[in-house]
Amino acid sequence: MTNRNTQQLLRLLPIKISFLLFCVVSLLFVLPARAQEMPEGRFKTGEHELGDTVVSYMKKLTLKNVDTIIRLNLSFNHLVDRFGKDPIQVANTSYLFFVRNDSSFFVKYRWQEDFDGMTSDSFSVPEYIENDTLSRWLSKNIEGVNNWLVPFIYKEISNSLPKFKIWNPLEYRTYWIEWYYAGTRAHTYFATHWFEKTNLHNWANINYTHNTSTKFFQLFMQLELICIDMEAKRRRL
Amino acid sequence: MKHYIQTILQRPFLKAVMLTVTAFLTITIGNAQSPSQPDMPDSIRCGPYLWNWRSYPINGLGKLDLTSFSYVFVKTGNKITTRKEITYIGNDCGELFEAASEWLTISNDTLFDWLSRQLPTIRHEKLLDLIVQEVYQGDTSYRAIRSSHPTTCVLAYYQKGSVTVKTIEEDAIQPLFRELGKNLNYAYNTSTPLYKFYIMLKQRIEFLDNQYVFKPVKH
Repeated sequence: MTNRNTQQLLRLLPIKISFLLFCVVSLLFVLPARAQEMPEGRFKTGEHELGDTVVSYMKKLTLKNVDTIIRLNLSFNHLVDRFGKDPIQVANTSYLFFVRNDSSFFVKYRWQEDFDGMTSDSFSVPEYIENDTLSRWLSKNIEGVNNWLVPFIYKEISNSLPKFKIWNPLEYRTYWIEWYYAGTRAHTYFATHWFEKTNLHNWANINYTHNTSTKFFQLFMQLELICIDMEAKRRRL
Repeated sequence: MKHYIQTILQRPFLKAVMLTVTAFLTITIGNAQSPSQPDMPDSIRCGPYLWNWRSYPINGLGKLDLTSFSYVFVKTGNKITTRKEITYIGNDCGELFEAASEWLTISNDTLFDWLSRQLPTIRHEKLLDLIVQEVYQGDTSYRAIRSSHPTTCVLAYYQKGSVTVKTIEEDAIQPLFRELGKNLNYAYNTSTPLYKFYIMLKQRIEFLDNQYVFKPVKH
């Protein structure tokens, strides 16, 4: 019986060996192919992180005697058309404003992803802000820009009891803002509907007076105007 | 047929395949034959309360480093049976163990009757965030606040095969939040049937907490 089993094993041995060899050889083919696939994914190896680029750019600015920098970051996914090509998806836009020798400058940073999953980012050349009131305003007020903003809250009465609810629209843009001034850094985040007096349902924002009386709001209005101007100028070019 | 079976049994590989297939079929058919337990009694699970590695005395087990605990209430006929379930860290600080207490019986309790009456209301209720008013140099603002380590209790009510899950943030039912002031949603939150449900459970738990007894567990 044992002899017969041994004979059977010996007969099957070449098949088993060839199967094992097949497995090893196919692994040798598959593994390098997968290793090559990895960098082709969403994030290429050696690619820098989004925040790092802007932060290192801002550090470089501080070395060039720039003492006031504001970064307004907008996280808002949207598609941008490109002539003759597929549109690209812009996931993040940062606007940098800095003051040097009493003049203000504007830089736009964009982080985007195309339909092949390749990500890239770019900075615009610093542009001089004409008819600038920002640098003068900042020199007087930047120390006061530290007020915290509060969300859109409305009050409702239900069964004679007050209810305080936070309201957010279905779609809204969230901004992240940070500013460097004389070696200090501050930051906050906010959404533009926090500055609205009422919403579409006519619910009154009880934080409207607080939010719009802050120096922060005055700063944001100026920055927004500059952004609109600069973007319009870009389109004319 | 006999010949085939003998051939399979003689070959270890085929034997292993047969066993795997049989095990798979048993599990699949077994699962298919146990429907969603229509006869499951009404029950409430309160918790898990997360208890971050704090030493806590447990009847029958001594002091244990608990990670979480929850309470179960089951309606059996006219009575309610209840037990406490805990998760704790073993002596070697590496492994987590679970233990459940003996069942306790509560008679003449209206908890489940009240709950089934209030369920249509409770199902749609949600407690509002803790919101405080802040007045600083004549400027008034309202802000939503969450404490750094909020205590959250999850209440699950199983009734006739369906489950209603509600979350209670204990921040939302505090009248005051430290030095920041009054919780403006306190009056509304504490007027809801959902809050009453939570309080009814809390009263029972506080009364019974020392009576849950655990049997020593051998690890």
